[in-house]
Amino acid sequence: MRTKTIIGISLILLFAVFAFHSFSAALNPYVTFAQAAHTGRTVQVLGYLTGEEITYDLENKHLRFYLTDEEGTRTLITYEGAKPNNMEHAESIVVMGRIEEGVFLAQKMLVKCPSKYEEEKESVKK
Amino acid sequence: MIGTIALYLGFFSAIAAGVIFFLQSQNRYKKIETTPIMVWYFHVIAVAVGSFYLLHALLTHKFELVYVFNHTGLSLPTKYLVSAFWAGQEGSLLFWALCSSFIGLILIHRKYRLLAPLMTLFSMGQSFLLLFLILESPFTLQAVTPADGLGLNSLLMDPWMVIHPPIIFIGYALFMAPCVFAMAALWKKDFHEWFLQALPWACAAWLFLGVGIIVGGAWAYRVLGWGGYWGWDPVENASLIPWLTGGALVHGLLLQRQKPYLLRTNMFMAVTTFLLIIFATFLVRSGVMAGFSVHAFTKTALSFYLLLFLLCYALIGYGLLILRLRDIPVALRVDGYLSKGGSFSLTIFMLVISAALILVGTLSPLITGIFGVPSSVDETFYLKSNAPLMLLLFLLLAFCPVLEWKSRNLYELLSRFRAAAVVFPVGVIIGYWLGVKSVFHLVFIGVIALAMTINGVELARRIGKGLKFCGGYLAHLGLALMFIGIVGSMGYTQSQLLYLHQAEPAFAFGYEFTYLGHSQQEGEKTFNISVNRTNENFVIKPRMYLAGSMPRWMKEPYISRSFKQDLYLSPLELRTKEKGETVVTNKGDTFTYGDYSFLVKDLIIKNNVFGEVIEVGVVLEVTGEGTEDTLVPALRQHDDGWKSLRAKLADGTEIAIDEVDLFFELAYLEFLGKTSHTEEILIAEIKVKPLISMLIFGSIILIAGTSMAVWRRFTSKKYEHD
Repeated sequence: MRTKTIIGISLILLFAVFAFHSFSAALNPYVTFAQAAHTGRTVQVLGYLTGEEITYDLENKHLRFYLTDEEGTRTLITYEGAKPNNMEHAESIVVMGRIEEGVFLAQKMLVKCPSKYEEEKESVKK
Repeated sequence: MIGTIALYLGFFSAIAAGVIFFLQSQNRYKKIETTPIMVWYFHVIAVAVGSFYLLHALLTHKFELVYVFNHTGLSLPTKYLVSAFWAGQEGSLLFWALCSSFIGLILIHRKYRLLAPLMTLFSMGQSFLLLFLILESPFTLQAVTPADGLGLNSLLMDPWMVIHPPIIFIGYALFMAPCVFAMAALWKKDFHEWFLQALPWACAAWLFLGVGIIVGGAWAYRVLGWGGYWGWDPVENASLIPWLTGGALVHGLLLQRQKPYLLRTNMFMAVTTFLLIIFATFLVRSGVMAGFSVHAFTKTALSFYLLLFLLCYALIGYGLLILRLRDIPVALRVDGYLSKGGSFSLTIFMLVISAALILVGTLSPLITGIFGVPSSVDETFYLKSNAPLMLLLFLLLAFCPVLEWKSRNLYELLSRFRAAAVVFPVGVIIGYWLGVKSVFHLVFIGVIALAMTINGVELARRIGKGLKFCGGYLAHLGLALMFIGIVGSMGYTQSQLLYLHQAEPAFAFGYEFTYLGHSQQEGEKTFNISVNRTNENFVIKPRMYLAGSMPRWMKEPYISRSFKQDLYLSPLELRTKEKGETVVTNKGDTFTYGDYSFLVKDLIIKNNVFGEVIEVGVVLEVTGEGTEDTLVPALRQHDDGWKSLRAKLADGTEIAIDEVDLFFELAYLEFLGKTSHTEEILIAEIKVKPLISMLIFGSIILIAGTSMAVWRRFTSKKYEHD
């Protein structure tokens, strides 16, 4: 009985460690572009469109646009995926990815709409 | 006016009913008098009148109501006018209260022994719902009556979205029943029947919530065009968490119905599941997750009262549970994990752990915010941490049909499995052959195959006893099929961005796509794309349409279904590009185009301080029509890519550089004039999603099986045993 309890507890502990590890590995902090450039790891940045054109780069096959963060830093974002509906009308955009050579490579994008209760899902994945 | 009065009457009658039921509950076992029942009837009528009034206002375009103005318009078809009832939070709360009032009515008519305490607690919840409606009324008037409303969000104009919210809210309303059964039993220290009475309600609640979640996923997949059905968004997780604990509750009650196991656990689960339902409502309406969710819900006045609702039930539920801990009869000890009781307990344990992990993940921005920078987990956390739990659950599912009340030893158990065990390697081999490479996925598929076979055999054996008794096995079979679909579609989806030049075939995933052109109507573009694969040739027509009060282009994906995989195509953007004639020349060459002759005199290259090329130009000497000129078309590097600087001839023809090869000193020049035409390029995302068909098929079987179980529980005799 005692050995069984020990095995049980150690299994649970093992799983807890595993769960905690995957939790911290999957964490993406909300930061500014300046901090994102500094850490180089995968982060999330909340930004606003600058009014410049959102374009598809035909050669490199990605979406290019600019965002300014809360501190006012303007950064070029590239995103290999579909442009979300209504992106131009977004109140704010959360991009998730990392900065490489001054360009933010977004893996995921969340578009927040200005309207009140619109239960819209604009999450797009790579 | 009528609506507001109805809500006030509803609120006060709910409180009145609660008070009278409370007074009656103080003298136990006395026959229920008719007074509170009449009050409850009055309450139901008030809420129904309010609901009818809102429906009427929606159908007759009463734009003086803010709610009607915000969610409908004159041009909206009738079916969407009806569904606008639950398009906003005020209406959906009213719908919840309406369902809940009718559930109260059924509870009254089922003449439960503890009806008075039961209805006291139920009326309390109902009073909260009506309080929310008074605070955030769907009948709020605006000073000026506009001529037309804002219209319904076009993404919500889909049959699936019409039924998704009401199903979810029926589930929410139903989960209040098991909670009050448990609380009433604790209050009156009467533990003999509550679990039998709560079981059908818990089953039904679990069914509705599950169907709602599945329908929501179907809507996301069909309408939103991002190619998935589940995004681990806080709003989605908020309903998944109580569904998991609800599943634990259902299994616990099923076990307790047969033997006195898990007495305290079930009480705890019944209360907790309903608390999680309130918490879900709080999460999506309070604005605490506003910065972290794609669902743009604003903070409302309700946050405080929702929290009060939560605290109230938590205090009563958990408080009673602690106070009465010693009064609850002693539960039987489970006889080892390889017994029926043990497998149920483990299942419940896994479901609760899974729910807890998802809760932690959902709240990660708030939790990490306490310690520093708010961070949120991405989907890898949910997938990774739940994967081992799901594997164990399916392992249990494979074993449980052969388990008995008495624990068996592992060797004996495995020997009974010898025949079925063949299925495991067969599943693994089929998985490998289909292209599954991950060891974990292969093991998972093998275990699912094993679980399916054993449950399938058991199902076949049972079917003779009547369809009614097969619900559980069928539901488990459906769940197993769903997980095959989930593994396939989540783990093995391939996606690619395609640039489809008109009439030029492009290839992806073994398909050949040819963009044929588009047809345009007002505010709508339909694209025709021919798809070719060996023996298959069809034309698909994805669409983009303008919608909304602030019109914008919505992208409707096109899904071509087959058993093996779905082909999912979302149109992203239509580009037009001028296409002229291309001339390839070398430095020093001469050539003629139209009435002109050219000499390529030089290639100019400009570098920046780092030695990178920032501009290239081609110096052309032009002669023709009595003119002589030097033109320099160029390409210049800008912040966001290369820009073409065109040169213009006297007759209006423009010369652009397509490309310059500095090594061979070649220039690709494009002449854009009378002979050039515009070319359309459709940018589209193609996804191939394996085994979505299994997911759909499995969902249908799961729903059918659960429905059969619900039917059985609602019609069964009290102490009927298996």
